[in-house]
Amino acid sequence: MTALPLEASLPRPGRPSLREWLDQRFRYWALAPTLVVLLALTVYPLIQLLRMSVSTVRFAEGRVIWIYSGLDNFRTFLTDSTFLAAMRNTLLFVIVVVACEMVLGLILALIASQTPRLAGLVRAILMIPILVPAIAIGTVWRLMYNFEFGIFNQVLRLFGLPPQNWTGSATFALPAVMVVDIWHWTAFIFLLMLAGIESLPIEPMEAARVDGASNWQLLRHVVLPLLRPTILVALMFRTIFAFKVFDEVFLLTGGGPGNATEVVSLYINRVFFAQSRMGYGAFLSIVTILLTAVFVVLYSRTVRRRSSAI
Amino acid sequence: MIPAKKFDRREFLKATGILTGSLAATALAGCAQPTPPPAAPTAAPAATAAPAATAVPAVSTGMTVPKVDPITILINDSPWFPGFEKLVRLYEEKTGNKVNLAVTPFAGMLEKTRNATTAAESEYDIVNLNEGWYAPFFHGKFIAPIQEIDPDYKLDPNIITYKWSTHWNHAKIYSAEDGIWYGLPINGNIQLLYYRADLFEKAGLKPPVTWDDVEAAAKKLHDGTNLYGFAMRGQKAGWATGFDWMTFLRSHGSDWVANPGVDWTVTINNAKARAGMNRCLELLKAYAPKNIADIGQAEMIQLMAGGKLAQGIMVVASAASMDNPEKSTVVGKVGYTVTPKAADGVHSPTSGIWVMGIPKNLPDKRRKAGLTFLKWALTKEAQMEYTKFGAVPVRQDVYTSELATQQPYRWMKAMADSTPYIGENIRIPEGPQITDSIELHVNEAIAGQITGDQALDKMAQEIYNILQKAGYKTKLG
Repeated sequence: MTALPLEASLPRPGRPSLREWLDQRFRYWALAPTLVVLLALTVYPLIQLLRMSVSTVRFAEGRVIWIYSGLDNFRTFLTDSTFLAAMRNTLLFVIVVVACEMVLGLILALIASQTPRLAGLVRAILMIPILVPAIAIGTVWRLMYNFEFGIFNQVLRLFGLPPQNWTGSATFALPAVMVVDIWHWTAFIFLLMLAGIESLPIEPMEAARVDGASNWQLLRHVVLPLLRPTILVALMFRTIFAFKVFDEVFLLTGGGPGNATEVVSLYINRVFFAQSRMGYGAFLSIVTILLTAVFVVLYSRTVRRRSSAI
Repeated sequence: MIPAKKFDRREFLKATGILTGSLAATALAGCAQPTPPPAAPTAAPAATAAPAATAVPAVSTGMTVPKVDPITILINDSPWFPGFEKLVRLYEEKTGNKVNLAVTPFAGMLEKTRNATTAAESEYDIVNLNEGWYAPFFHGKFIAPIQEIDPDYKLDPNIITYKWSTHWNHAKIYSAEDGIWYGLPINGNIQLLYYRADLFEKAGLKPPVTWDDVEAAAKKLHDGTNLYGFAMRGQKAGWATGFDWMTFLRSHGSDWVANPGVDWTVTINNAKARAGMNRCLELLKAYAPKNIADIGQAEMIQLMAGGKLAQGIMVVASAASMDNPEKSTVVGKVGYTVTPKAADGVHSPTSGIWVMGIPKNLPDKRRKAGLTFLKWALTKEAQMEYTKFGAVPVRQDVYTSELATQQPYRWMKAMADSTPYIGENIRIPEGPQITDSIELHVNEAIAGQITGDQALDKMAQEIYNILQKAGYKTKLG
């Protein structure tokens, strides 16, 4: 190794040259394009959305007019019973479908991991619901729920039971949409869980076996704790996605009967695009963004707290 | 430990240099290829000259169509679109003028129209406006008045205006004869009563005229399993159930307000409205399928075309499915008549039409090119062809023509008979909010979640709130 002269290895006193200055700050200006794109596509629209949420947007005299309306949209929000119903339905939907999908996805992944020969086949079969376009899912399930000739009512008739109005009654409509969502997204959880299980280290499990752990004890005290990061990520993503549910409800029930299956995204879409109430639609969007952000923050905090406790 | 390779400014400049060099080399190589001739322009240049003097006689329509620059029409991909497309191709063939179609699903039409008409210059020369949401475009002056484009063009009295859907009175905030002429209808979709003519004949029944007739026929024909006596859409779906229900409301002598454009007193829950609502709910409860609150347009067509429905309220656009042997078991067996009325009321089929308008943010030359197409498309001859292509025409002389006597076009007589009674959609800028309220509460009443009276009272209050907030002089009736 050739030693460098001492003065070359020491920082030069005084002002740095342009080249040095550029070198020192390269990491910042290398980030600039990303930052510009982020600002243009995320921050700017968000600012506009905020501005819109305190405005009334009118289409008049051949132009779009924004009129500052202060707390008008907030006052409308306080008396909006449809949004309340939509929020209630959305929360119920999120809790039920995410819980079912997490449990079913985990069980399926555990079974598949125990039968390596079948894992590929099971994975391929379970991938199908994810690959099917939403419009096809809506059509197929709507036909299956059909009162006259749907498969479910045909089965009921086989057993001498009366047919049910699956998507047209306030009692069954929301559960019917939940079933479709669970069918659609359990495979997603399954794939995440299976990948997580397959990447677990084998040593702790072998050690547990040597110590005489039963299957249940192995699952409860070794596999699930090791799988915890995967479970938490899957849980967070599915919760956020489920909160944004739109296509399944739109295609199966349109939010009806009445407000029985009205959900937040569907309602905002209608306020924005059908009713052309841009200001109020923006306000509802901001409320939804805030709720999601609060969930993510609380969730991250809980996860961090538990992790540090462990 | 192997240190990570540092990607510094010099590395970045080096990589950028290599990439730029490669791209430049590729571009230079491309220059060696023969250059293709420039494509013909598809959009008209922004000039204000009148259409070129060279005129092509369009023999079939009897009118002389000037040669104009290519136009682009924003059009929805609805069941009648194939008929419209054929009409456009016929126009091209007969006149030599070129038309581009920007086809969009129904759901995207409002947004695209709004974007086009609020831009510096619209990308479309003609926009297709739905009666359910067109009011803001007329009221907001986003559409060019027809007589601003061609002061000599007069509205042919045979073109059905659907209660002056073509004109807008800015002071009344409503469509009116004394308003400014903004648009021309292109699809005359209205409600009809569909009935099984074969079963009616067998049972010695006449086509229903009143709701009592409907009930009597339903009572006779309904068996609850293989044949339902009466149905309409009951599913909450934008503006479907409420749209169908409007005929009950108006045929019993009520309306959503006392006199739209003149008196904004909310009357949707008056005694006549209650009678209309009760009649609707009674008929559906007794004679409709049990899942009526989940029945949309597709299910209505299935029921009627599948031979399971004796009578139903449907828009005329569904008629084509009844005689399609691939979709229907009742080919030639379905009859059509004007939507029924109360014994002391008047018929009132609701319109759900499409009106074409020319964006205001266009240079004069493009506006004239658009109007040239519309003028041609609304001639009797073009509308006759349009009907044969499977679309719903907008001329009364087409509905009363010889074509209407032919079996496949038997629905046309019912359309001609309906014209004097047409009840318009809710045509104010706040219309979509009001139709949302009606749709929700009618659906709730049909699903049995609330009573008919409760539904009407909720609608009345909500409509009053919407109108009051928007500045209309309103009160609860």
